[in-house]
Parts: sequence; structure tokens; C-alpha cells
Amino acid sequence: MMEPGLYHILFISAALFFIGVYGFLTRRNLITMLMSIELILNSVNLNFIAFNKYCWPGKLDGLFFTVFIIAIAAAEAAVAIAIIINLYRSHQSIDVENAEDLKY
Amino acid sequence: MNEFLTLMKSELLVTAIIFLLLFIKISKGLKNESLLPLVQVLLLVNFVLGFFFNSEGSLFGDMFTTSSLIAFQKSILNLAVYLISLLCAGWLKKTQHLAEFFLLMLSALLGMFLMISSDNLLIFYLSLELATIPVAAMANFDLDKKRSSEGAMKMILSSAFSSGILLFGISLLYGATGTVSFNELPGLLDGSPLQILAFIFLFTAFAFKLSIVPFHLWTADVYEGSPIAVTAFLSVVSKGAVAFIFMSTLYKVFQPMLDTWYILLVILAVATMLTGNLFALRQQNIKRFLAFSSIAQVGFILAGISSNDKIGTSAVVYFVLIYVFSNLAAFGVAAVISGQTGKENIDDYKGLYKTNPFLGWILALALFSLAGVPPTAGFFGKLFLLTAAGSTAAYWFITVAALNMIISLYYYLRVVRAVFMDKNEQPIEKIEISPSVKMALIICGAGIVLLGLLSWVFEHIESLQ
Amino acid sequence: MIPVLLILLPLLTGLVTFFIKDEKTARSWALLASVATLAVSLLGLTVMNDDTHLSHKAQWLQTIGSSFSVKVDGMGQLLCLLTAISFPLIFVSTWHSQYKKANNFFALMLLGQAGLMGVFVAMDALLFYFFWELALIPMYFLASQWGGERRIKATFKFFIYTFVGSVLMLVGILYLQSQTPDHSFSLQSFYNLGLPVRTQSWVFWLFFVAFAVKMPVWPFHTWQPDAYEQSPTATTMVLSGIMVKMGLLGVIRWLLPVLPFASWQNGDTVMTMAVIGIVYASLIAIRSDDIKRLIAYSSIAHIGLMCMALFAENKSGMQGVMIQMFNHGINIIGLWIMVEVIERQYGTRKLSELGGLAQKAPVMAIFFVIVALANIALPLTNAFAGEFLMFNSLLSAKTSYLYAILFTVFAGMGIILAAVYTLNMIRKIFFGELTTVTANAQDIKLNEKLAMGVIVILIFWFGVYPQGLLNITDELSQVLVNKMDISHLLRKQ
Repeated sequence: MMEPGLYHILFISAALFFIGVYGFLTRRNLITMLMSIELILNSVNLNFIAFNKYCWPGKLDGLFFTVFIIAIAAAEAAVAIAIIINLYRSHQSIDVENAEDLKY
Repeated sequence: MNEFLTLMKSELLVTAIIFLLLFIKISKGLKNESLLPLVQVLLLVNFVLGFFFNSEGSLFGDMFTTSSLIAFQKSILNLAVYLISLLCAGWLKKTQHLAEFFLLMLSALLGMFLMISSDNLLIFYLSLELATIPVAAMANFDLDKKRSSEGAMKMILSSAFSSGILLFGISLLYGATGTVSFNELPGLLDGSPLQILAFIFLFTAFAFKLSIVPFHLWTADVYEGSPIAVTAFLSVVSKGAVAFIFMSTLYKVFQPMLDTWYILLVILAVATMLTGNLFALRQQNIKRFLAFSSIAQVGFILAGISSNDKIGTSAVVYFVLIYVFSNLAAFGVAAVISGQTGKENIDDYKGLYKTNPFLGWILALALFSLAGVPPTAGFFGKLFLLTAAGSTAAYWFITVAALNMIISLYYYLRVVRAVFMDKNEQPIEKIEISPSVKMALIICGAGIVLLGLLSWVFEHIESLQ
Repeated sequence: MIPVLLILLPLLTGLVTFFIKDEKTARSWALLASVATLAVSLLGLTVMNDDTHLSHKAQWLQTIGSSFSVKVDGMGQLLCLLTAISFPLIFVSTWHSQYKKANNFFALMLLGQAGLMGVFVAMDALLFYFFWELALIPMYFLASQWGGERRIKATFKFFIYTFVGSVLMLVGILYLQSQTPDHSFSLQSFYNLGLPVRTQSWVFWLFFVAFAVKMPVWPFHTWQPDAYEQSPTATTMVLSGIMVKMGLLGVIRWLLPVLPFASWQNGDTVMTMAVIGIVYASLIAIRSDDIKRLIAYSSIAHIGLMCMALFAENKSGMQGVMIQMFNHGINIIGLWIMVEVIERQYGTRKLSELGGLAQKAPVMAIFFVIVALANIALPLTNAFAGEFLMFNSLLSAKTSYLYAILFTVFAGMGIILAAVYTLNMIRKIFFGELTTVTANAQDIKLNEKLAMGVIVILIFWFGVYPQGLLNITDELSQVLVNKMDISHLLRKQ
């Protein structure tokens, strides 16, 4: 059994990132879109941790970054969900297809 | 300790105001009629103090830095916020949660201050979020309007998405160089493919925030949906702050990758100007119209940035200063009209001059300035940007930019024509303008006229570097 | 000192006029201001005509190499004098026209005058561009607020056209500035440029389009008849009498000496355009029924001739154009005054509806005939000297001999056609049967007599004694022609 190394982790995080981007662009449910963004953020977290552990073991910047990202992601999600709830109140739906008052 | 106080003065002042507002809110609270003047005075004090006790240096192990130029940039933002608080008084007085509105706005402002001052990708990211998330909440401030919540939704999702991309770029950059400090990065950049990839991710995130084509799609919707005070804040303060940090990041951190970003910048500048202008041609809603016009203006800012020169920095700062006055004058007029009558369509503006000559003149001045017609300051702003862009000898680029000025003149003139010439059966009735709003509009008008003619303004900015 | 005053006086008085609510006061104030400007201009021409008084330099936008540098040279003298004379004439002759919001009208007129003066005296490219646009905006508002029925469309076209031209010129100016060794916008550095032959050509067109739109030269003229027709007559006078001179001045001061090689190279093209314009405009003028349009087209023809003479690139042409700019301005303002009188009194500008006025309004007929004949450059009128010099220059133009002859012949045809439509116009208005419109015609009023009297005096004065004008422009035209000399460049090739 091979030890998982930097490349494995990077592969996973890149996959997570692009799954997130794909989800964000294709899903029409606001909550799912928000979840996709969380996926992106988590892939970034993985990246930071992996780089920190394998490439720059002497430094702590990556770890700090991860901690802050987790906190900010929570704040962001809070505001986003508040907005989505408000949107649900006015539109009776959380499908982006129904939020189409504004367009070109 | 003393150094801490002077270096972080702007941030501390804004924080103090935030806490004061919180305190007022918690303890019983004040009526809007008395709270609004108080906030206006506080913001004025904040703006004035911005010019005193400035010093240069860095704090927190080089995470935070400030200089006279940065202090000046902060003053521009302070001024813009003060003017918004005056201009949008009509809407602000009516809103239910005035204290909260200013809390959010000032938090965002604090975030922008930190962002301009940041010298480290970590604090840059934190402050960027601080500058964005409250604005999304502000965009939703017309709670019972469908459009408002829709705009806010688009804003928060796209900004969260863009910060995700930004972070991914930062993580790659960290992997490639092992540092997130602005001071150490330039020495470690060598233009390897990974770094270029990371840079493009970062660039994309900036492009989202600055609404550079093709990442501009959220702009118009958010501008139209939000209350007008928020739209003004987004288009002036937010844009200005991101433009400042974008420029200093490119110049300071990514200097070794000049060849990469110069090409990107030039192509995107042309695309942005063209798209902004062409879409602005067909807009009916004044806020949407101004949204696309501001996209086009960003294209010009990019042209100035592309110079990679001292004059580029001065030109961009100068342009943003002028842009504050011109755009806020336009938004101010729109705010007064929409606050009184709820009308936001350009067709409704027909015959405005007959009933409200003062508003008509200010709007005309603002639009001429945005179009860059002498003798307004907007011309000088554009002139310096073009001169800066010309310093790299890209003359086809200047020519395209100049041709864009013509397109933009066409649609700005369309509004001027509606205001001054077109006949209207039911023009907007005479609007009583309160003294403070009138004063703010006059300040904007005077700024538009004088800023260009007084050449020492530009020389002052140049001397700050 | 003089040039600064010439700009500041109308500028400040114009700004003050915005705040004068009473119509009568605003009118008198504007007249007073314009007379004061005239006094300053005359002072500069006679008493204080040395360099210390006629030039001024101050710091302005120093960081990018610009400065507030103004100077009244020979051409500046004439054009400033023309501007300074015209405005009092315009105000006096339109004394009885009623305007809504009269204070704004007069304020914008004075602001326009300030811009025009600035264009004529600016010795710095950026300053020149600044005033160039500054003169445009008041005209736009004047025409669009107080003009005729189709004014909105006409002025929109006018503004866009001129703006397109001037933005291209801005690019050219920025390019030239970046090429100067000291990164300066000053005229002198532009003169010393000596740009490589290959780049001169495209910079030439950047500048020329701006000037051609302003003049206007065929095919850039299409904004002009509409704009003249739809503007209030006072504005039309400014547009056609003075503003078109901006384009000519631009060519003389900013194009020919700065880009001598490209001017020589493209001279034939420009002259061909101009000559097409002359014939084309004259033919349309013959066919048109509206007096305003007729005069507008005749103006295109005249300007076309001046443009040709400039690109002949010799001294007599240069000097001829300089004095013709002055005289054409005086004459065409005279014509517009008469048109204004006719339109106001009889409510029509159609030649077909007018007739027999000479019986009812003999004084007007005399004035009109004198001005019209001056417009076609009859000897003893002011335009003759200039026209003579210009034709002289065309024959000795720097192009090939065949072209020179051809151009002269076609331009001469323009003169004949001009005689045809002018005399035709006189015949239709003043002779023949009285029509229903003119049956109860009255003669012109005192203020109009006054203005026309001054114009007629000027016409004869400079008709008999053109030497005065020639003296003013002599030195400058020699200097400019020397700068345009490219024989050393050709030899190098």
C-alpha cells in the first residue's frame, strides 16, 4: 500500500474544486449552489494544509489561512442563508430560475 | 503605542463610529431624524481628520502598511461615504433600520481600508470579505422588494464564488512560493506555469470585484435591485477601493510577471469598455444605465493601470477621485428623484430641466464629466489615464479607448437630451430639495468643474508617491 | 495680459449673466461685456501691440508637460478682432429677438466667446484642445434649447460629428506629445518635432478630420446645413462666422507647420476634396429655396476655397486665407442679420414666398445687396483682396502644373456659381411681384441699421485699404511658410 503523498491530496482538492465550480454553474437550487461554494472553499483548505505539510513544513501561514477560511465561510454562509430566506419569503421558491425579475 | 494610533488612525476612527452607533442602537436608540444628522456630522469629522496625523510605516509584522498615498486613497473613500450619506438622505430617512444600515456600510468601509493597507494575502482576503459581505446584506435592505433580495442573492453568490477562486489562486501561490507576504512574494516569482495559473485565478477574482468583462454579469442586476444608496456605494466606494488594491498588487507583487498581466489587462480593458458601452446604449433604467457606464469606466481605469508607471498610479487615483464626484452627482440626482417620485426610467426624465433646472444642470455636468468632455474634470481624468496608457507606446490601444469615448458620449448625450430637450406630457413635478442634499450636489458640481482646472490636485497626488 | 483678458472677460461676465434674472438687464449686460472685449481687442491691436502684452504664460498641468501659454500672433489678432466685433454686432442686431430664459442664452453666448478666444490664442496643444471643446458645449446648448423644430436631431448630429473629430485629434496630440524630447505640449516643441515621414501621414489624418469637420470640408460637411438651419440665428452667426475659422486656424497653426511632409503629401487629396465641396455646395445652393440653407452651402463653398489655398502652401495663399477668414466672417454675419430680419418680419425663409421687397424696404435692399456682393468678392469690397491672393496661390501651388490649373478652373467655377445663386437670391427677394407675405413689409429697424452700417463700413474700408490686414499677417505667414518648407527633407530622400 502506497503512502498518500502531496500529489494525491492535490488531486483530490483539484477534483473538489472543479466539482464545486461545476455544481455552482449547473445547479439551480440556491442551497445547492451555496454547498458548491463550500466545496470550493474546502478544496482550498486541503490545498493549504497539504502545501504546508509537504512543501513548507517550517511555516504556519497555510494553517492560519485554513482557520480563517473556515471562520469566514461560516460568516458568508450565514449572510447568504439569511438572504436566501428573505428571497424565499418574497418569491416562495429558492430556485434561481424563479428569480428573474432582473435581466437584460 | 503612539505609532499604532497614528498608523491605524483611519481604521480606528471608523471602528469608533461603528461602536458608537452600536451603543446608540442598543440603548433605546434615536429617531431617524436625529440619528441621520449625527451620522453625517461624524462622517464629516472622520473625513476631515483623515488629513491630519498621518504617518508612514507598517504594523503587525508587515501585515498592515500605510503611506501618504494610501491615506489619501482612504480620504477619497471617506469623502464618498460622507457624500452618499448626504445625497441619499431621502431614502435613508425612510428606512426602518438606519443605524444598522450605517453599521454595515461602515464595516464595509473598514474592510476596504484594511484591504488598501494590507501587505499580506491573509489580511487582504479577510478585509476583502469584510468589505463584501456587509454590502450584500445592504443590497437586501429593501426587505419587501422582490428585486432587492434577488440582487442581494446574486451579489452574495457571485462574490462568494469569486472569493473561492481567489483563495484557490492564493493556495497555489502559497504552494509555489511558500509565502503570502507581499514583500517576500516578488522575489520568489519567476513566472513558472503554476505561478501563472495562480495569478490568473487571482486576477479572475479581482475581475469579479471590479466587474471586468467577462465577469461583469452580476453588476447590472445588483445595481438595479439594490436601494440607490447601496448602488452608489457599490459603484463608487467599492470599485475605487478594489481598483486601488488591484493596482498596487500588480505593481508591487506581480511586477516580475509584467508581461503576463500587461497583455491580459489590455485585452480585458478593451473588452470591458466595449461591452459596457454597447450595453449602456440600450438601457432604460437609470441605475442599470449607470451600472454599464461604470463598467465602461473600469475599462479606462485598466488602461491607466496598464502603464505600470508612477504616472499610472497618480492617474488612477486622480480618476477615481473625479469619478467619485461625477458618479455621485449622477446617483445623487437619481436618488432625489427616485426618493420623491419612485421614477427610475430615463423616459421619465424627459423634461426634467423645465421643472427642476438645478437637478437638470447637475445631471448634465455629471454626465459630461463621465463622458470626458472638457472643461469638466472627467476630461482631465481620462486625459491622464490615456497619457499613462500611452507611455507604453500602445497607440492602437489609445485609439480604441478614444473611440469608446465617442460611443459613451452618444449615450450620455441621450440622457442629457431627454433632460433638456425632449417634451413630456407629465414631467417630474417640482421637487423640494433639502438643504443638505443641495449642498452635497453643489459640492459634487463644484468638484466636477474645479478638480480638472486646478492642476495642483494632480501634482499633489503625484507628490504623494 | 491681452489674451488673458480676452478669455477671462467673456468667461466671467458670462458666468455672472446666469444670475441676472431680468431679461432687459441681461441683454444690456451682455452687450456691455462684448463691447468691453472689443475694446480690449482693439487695445491689443493698436496701443499694446508688443510681445510683453500679447503673450502670457502660467503654470498649468506641469506634470504632463502642459502650460497655460497664450499669445496673440498676427492671425490671432485678426480672429480675436473678428470675434470681438461680431458679438456686439450680433447682440445689437438681434436686440428685439425674444428668448425664453434670456439670461441663460446670453450667458452661453459669452461662454462660447470665451472658448473661441481661447482657441485663437492657445499656444499649447492641450490648452488648444481644451478650448476647442469648451467652445463647442455652449453652442450645443444654444442650438438645442433655442433652435427650430428639428433642432434636437440637428444638434445631436453636430455634437457627435465634432466630438468624433476632436477625440481623434486628442489621440494625435497625445502621440505628438510623447514624441517630443521633453514631453511637452507646447506649440514650439511641436514645431521642432520633425517627425519621421512614415508616421506623419496617419497623424495628419487624425488632426485633419477634426479640422475638416469643423470647417467643414466635403464629405465631412453633412452636419452643417442642418445645424445652421435649426440654430437660432444669433448662434448661426457664431457658428458660421467664427466657429468655422477654428478649423482653418487649426490647419494653419497646428497642422501645416507641424506635419509639413504629410501636408505636402496629402495636399492633393485634400484639395480634391475641397474642390468637390466647392462645386457640389454651389450647385446645391443654386437649387435651394431656403435662404438659410443657401447661405450655409455658400459658406461651405467659401471655406472649401480657403482650404484649397492653404494646401497650395505658399505665402500668398496663407496670407489670403488669413485675411479672408476675417472678411468672410464679417460678410456672412451681415448676411445672417438680413436673414434674421426677413424671417422675423415675414415669418418665412422661402425664396418662393418672398418678392418685391425693394419697393417696401429700400434701405434693407441696399444693405443686402452690398453684403451679398461682398460675399462674392466683387472688387472694392473686402473679400476681393483675399480671394485674389488665394487664386494667385492656387496657380502657383506646389502640386503638379496640370493639377494647379485644374484646381484653379474648378475653384473659379465656384465663383461663377456663387454669382449665379447670390444674384438669383437678390432677384427673388427684392424684385419681382409683391407676394402676400411681403405686401405689408416694413423697412429694417434702427438697431439693425446700426449693425449693418458698421458691417458696410468695414466692407468698404478693407475693400479699399486691405493693406491694413496684410500688414498684420505678413510676418506670420512668412514664418509659417518657412516652416512648411520641406525641400531639405525631399533632398535627403
